[in-house]
Amino acid sequence: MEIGESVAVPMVAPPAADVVIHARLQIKSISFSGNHVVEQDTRGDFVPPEWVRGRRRQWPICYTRNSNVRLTARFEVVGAPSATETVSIRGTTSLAGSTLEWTGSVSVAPDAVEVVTAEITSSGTLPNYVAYFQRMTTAWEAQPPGEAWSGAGNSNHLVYLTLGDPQGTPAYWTLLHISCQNAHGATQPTDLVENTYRSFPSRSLTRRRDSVGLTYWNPDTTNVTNTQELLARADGSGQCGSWSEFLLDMYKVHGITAGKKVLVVRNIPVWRSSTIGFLVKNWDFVGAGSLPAPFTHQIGVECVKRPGVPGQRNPNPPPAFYNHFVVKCFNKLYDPSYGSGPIDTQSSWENSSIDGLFSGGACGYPKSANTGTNLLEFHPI
Amino acid sequence: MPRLFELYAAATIRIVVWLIASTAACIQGANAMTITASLGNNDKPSGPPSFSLRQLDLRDTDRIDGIKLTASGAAVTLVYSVQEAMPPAGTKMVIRAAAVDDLENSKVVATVDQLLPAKARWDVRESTSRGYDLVFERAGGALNALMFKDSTGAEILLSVSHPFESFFRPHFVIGTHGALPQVAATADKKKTVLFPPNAHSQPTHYEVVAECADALVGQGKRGWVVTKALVSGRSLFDVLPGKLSIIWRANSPGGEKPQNVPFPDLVAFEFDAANANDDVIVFATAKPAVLLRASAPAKPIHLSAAERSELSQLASPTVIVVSQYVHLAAIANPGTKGAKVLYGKFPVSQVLGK
Repeated sequence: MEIGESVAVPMVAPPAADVVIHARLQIKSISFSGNHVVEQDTRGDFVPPEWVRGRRRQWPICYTRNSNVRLTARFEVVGAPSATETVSIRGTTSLAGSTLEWTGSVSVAPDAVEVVTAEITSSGTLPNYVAYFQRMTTAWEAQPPGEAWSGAGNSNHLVYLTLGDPQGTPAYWTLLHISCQNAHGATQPTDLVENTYRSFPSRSLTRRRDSVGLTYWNPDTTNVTNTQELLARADGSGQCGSWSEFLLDMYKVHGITAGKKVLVVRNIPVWRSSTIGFLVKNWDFVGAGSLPAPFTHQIGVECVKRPGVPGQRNPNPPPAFYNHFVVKCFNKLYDPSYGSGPIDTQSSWENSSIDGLFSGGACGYPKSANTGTNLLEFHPI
Repeated sequence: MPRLFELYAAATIRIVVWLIASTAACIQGANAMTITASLGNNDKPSGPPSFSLRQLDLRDTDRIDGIKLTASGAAVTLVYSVQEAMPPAGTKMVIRAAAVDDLENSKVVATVDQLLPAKARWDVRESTSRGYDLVFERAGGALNALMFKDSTGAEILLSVSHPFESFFRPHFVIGTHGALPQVAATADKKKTVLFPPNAHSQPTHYEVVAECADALVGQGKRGWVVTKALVSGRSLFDVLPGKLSIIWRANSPGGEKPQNVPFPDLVAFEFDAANANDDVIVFATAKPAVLLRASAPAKPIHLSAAERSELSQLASPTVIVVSQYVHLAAIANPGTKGAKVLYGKFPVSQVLGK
């Protein structure tokens, strides 16, 4: 070619006026409604959206069993349409044989960056039992007009299903996690109560939000007496009142209010005066004792403490109390502080839990000689 | 040639810009020095008054788990508690007292045997017989009894009529004096209750004064209750966060309606309160700790200290008003090797802004 010589430049033809470009969508976030808001173990509620694409942690969701699930879905427009169009969307998940499908539509304009559905309700219901589903995967699809369905991404959810609506307690995450995992499959209150307790004997329960181990009197300066404080306290240490309420609140988060705290004392007058209490296993009564009846053995000399029965994450809890809390529900006793139970009778609890009584610096009423006698009183509160 | 002129002009502009920036920096530095100089004078800028806390020279502060300021006449005393083990089972709570300006000479004013090592809350007041009356929690394992111990050492169970409830945060009603102590406490961490003045001599039932997890009861010209309503969030030294309010109580049945006045925009943990003329002053641990006034609830007073970060690490706040001075103290970083007791004293007029 020479300078100045004209060159034919091939031209790219513009799109024909009748070529249509359809929107392409990708699921961006999901907000649930009609659910029981999960509380972050005293740090505040998990607020919507419960699922966000790319977020490192996704929030758990909780519904009463056999419920429909309502949600709004937000999509990112990853491919803009050439003209405003209505795109159908659907999400499908399968949970233990139950299929749930959400269908709706969004209007997508050429300049849209995101689109959000109206609130849509699942076609089916959740399984009709208590459940913990670590991963419920929902496949999302979009269908522009006249086109086939195409994938719009997946969302994954941690799901808890309760027996009934929570009553009298926030839906603390740890309460849900332990009770739903332990009682997965339960359909009756008695099943839920019995199975919720399954992991308590392991004495290795942890708080869900930070995996801190929950303990009984460890450290022993704890003054924690309820569920909220047990879940808030940095070291997770609580007294028996907190452990009893912790167990009862696991029932309440499923709508079961039949359980009660039971106060264990020698009797009310001596508990009030702090004059007589009981020795938690293990104590040895050595010889006949040198003191007058009924408290015949000098503490520390003739009534000797041995390593105790373990409590929750505590191999050696305090050896003596004036009072203690256990739980009674559906005619069974549970001692969540020590992970013992279910127990049928007060007598069984005493024989497995205490070694006698004390008054001031003296001990008496060795349990080994009183296996058929109840030394204490149980007062449901 | 035109290009050379352009280069010269650009260089000149850059030099001028540098000169302007340098001058601005010098002016800013001079201003900073002026502020620093004025703060160097006991942290007192020429503007608003400062509320500076200083460290008290106390030994073994890492063992102190509770403090209270009291007064006898114009002399202010720091009362504090430490725990001692009592094998094979039990602990002893030792209450000591020392004048704020003579901390070397502390004396034991009370000891309390406890079966359990749980941190027990307590309160003291100067008794009519020149000793101290004490109210405290007696941990039983599941329930706390509410106990009164007079200056002779005699112990009385105040909660005798309530054996199925647990009592916390016992305190003498602020602003009451005289032979018959009036005691308030929280029952089951759900309601604040008031025992009548004769509770130490015969079984009595309490009166509920507020439904809340924590509160202080006081009496000035009107009765008042400073309450804390819990909120979600991180604890501070295992104390749950909450929002504070003051409830002005009716002086008599059928009197003025109770008024609930919130202290807005503040998340607090522990708190103490005192009457100050017709006002109520609240010392609240928060991030950072503040002084509050019932007369100006939306205007907290901010404190200062040598280690500013310690103002967000305070526990066991205590405040009293003596001879037109507000005295306050708190433990910074309790239970650690770095624990210290911080103390401040300010004219009432300065605190109330009058």
